[in-house]
Amino acid sequence: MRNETDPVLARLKRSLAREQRARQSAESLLESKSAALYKALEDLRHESAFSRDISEAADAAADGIALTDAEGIFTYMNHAHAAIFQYEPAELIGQSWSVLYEPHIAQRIGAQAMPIVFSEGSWRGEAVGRRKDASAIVQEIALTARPENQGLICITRDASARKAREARMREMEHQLRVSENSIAYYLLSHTVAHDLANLLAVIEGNSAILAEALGDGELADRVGRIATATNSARDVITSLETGVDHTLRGSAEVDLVQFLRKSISLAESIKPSAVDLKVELPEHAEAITNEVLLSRSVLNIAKNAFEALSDGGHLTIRLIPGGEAEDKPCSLRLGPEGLDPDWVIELIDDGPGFSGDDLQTYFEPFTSTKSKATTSGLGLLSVRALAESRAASVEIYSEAGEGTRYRILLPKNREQPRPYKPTAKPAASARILIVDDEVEIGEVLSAQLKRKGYEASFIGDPTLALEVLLASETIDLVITDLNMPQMAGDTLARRVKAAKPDLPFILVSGQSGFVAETNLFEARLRKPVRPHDLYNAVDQVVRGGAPI
Amino acid sequence: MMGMVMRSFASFVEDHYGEEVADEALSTEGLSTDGAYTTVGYYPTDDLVKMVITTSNSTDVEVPVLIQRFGFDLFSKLADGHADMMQDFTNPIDLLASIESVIHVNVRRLYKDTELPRFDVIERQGDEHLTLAYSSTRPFADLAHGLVHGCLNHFGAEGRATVEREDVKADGTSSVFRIAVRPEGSEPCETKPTPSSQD
Repeated sequence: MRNETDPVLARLKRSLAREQRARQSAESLLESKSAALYKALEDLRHESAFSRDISEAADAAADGIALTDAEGIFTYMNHAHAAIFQYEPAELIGQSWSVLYEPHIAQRIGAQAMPIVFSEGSWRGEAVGRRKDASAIVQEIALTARPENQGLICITRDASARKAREARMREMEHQLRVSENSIAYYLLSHTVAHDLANLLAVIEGNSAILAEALGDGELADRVGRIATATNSARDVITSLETGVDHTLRGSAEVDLVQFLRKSISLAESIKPSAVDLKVELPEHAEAITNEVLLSRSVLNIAKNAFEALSDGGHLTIRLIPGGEAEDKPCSLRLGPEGLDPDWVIELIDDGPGFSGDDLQTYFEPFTSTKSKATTSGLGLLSVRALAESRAASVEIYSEAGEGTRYRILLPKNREQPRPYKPTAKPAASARILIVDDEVEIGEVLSAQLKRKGYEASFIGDPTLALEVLLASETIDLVITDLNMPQMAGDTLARRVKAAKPDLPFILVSGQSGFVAETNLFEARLRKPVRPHDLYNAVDQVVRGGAPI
Repeated sequence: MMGMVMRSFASFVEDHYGEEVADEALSTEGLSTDGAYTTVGYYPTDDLVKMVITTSNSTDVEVPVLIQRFGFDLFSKLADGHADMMQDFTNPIDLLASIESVIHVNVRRLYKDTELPRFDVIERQGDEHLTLAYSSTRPFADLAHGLVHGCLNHFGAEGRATVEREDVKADGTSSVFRIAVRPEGSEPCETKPTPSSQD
């Protein structure tokens, strides 16, 4: 037995004690390392799951994503990237990026884009790639240098569809511009025709009065020559108007559903992918309108909306029955007021909208709210022409930041002629009110009718005429102009007939193409009015003949 | 300092100078753990220095020599403990030239917090000549010297090799080793006694 003072025993005890402490220290270290390892494992699991999510997102991304190493060899590629070039990812991984381009294009990318990538970190642009079948593909590319010179990240998308859409947009813009020229000429010619017709009406009416007063003789003969010259001038006006695209004139019954489907199909061909187009159409709808002007209006409005929504947004096109259309705020109204519509076409976008100041000039030829730097833009002259043709009423609501809403109100379908109740009075004593903002015309028509024994009077302001007509029970017939600054003739007729449906109206207009296709008028006359046409129309209406 | 080095030193002292000397070394005053070391722990470098001095005093072996001997011995322990790593090398020049690029990379995978000296290759001519620069924050050029000899011995090249050492700094933190190994079958060269032969 060794005693407690034995140095060997003491050394062994010290060694044992050291080993015990070392073991405790090792166990303690093991526990802390184990805990750290467990945490590291958990972190690794999270990172692994995150990496897997990122990887799955990259795999499923609509845009093409690829990675290259420092030598330009593809090390990763998602399906979208490979599909743009008609490959499978496995076919391109391990290949150089340059295999996707013609040699001279690859050389240009290497010489122009790569130096920018390496000096600035990234480059963005377009390039023409080569598909597997050797066809060309226009692609948008964004190249980014990977950290520590590990290669590149390439994000790409097929720009062919966008290019094709832009080409269609340019073509449609060209067609719309040609159309706008045509419409501008159409509006100009009708304005000129209208003004000339008014002047001729004064000349012809006064000539007729003079001829009757002079009887036979040389002076009467000379007055007759004035009438002949006036007739020739009427032919000149007709020629002026017929020189215009005839499809812009008049109205006809239109299958609105089929028409809108066709227009929307055209509009969809230029729709940016970022725009969500929603269409709501009933099964059947018909209206009397000018199909060409309506079509160009819808296309123009849609095209302007797409350009306003180029960064994304929504456009809704819907056709709703007039009875279901609610009154809505309106920044500007074009065309007939108080129209009781059969159908309403609404085009509503949630784009940037425009202010009231812009709105006033929006319907002038070749006007646009868009930046002049990007496009000359097209105005909405077709919308104005549609409204001025009285074939529709157009309401526009827009505020900056609130989008834009167009409502095209289409008048009621052609109505059956209403039974006309003739006045009981002798024709010659019928009281006739003439409404025309052109004083000379009003006076000459009044003089002509007075010479035939009618009690004719004249008012130049249609708003005043409206008050008189609503208050008076003695007027038997109204002869009205169509385009008057204070109120249009069809609006006047509509408002009066709402209270007095049996009061007959004769429309006298200098614009042959702008005839409202409604049952508001018992007769329509074209300026300059031949005296016998005026007398016949008045006589027929007063005596109870069928509407002319 | 890695605990494995501390335990290796204690084991080296016990094997070469006896249990009593080893006990004295581990009982040195001021050791951070009173001489209890685990192979997986990290300890102050001073602990090793203190134990070396104690051992030197106990054995009358000069400190530089003692450390070189320990380095010689340490190499064989490292080689035994990492036989899989050693399989990749067939001659001492290959291994010594790969300390930084291969061996230390693997060491850091196992001991990520460890602070390792640098062994930079200054020049290499085939498998026969190598100029290696040692640098460290610790004064263990002697340990490196011993390890170089341990390496040559491991590959059976000790008798065919010469090792010239040039101390760049006198404090033992920077030295250059010029190692020449003649091909197998050639005449033995006259060399200074190796650390192991001084036991």
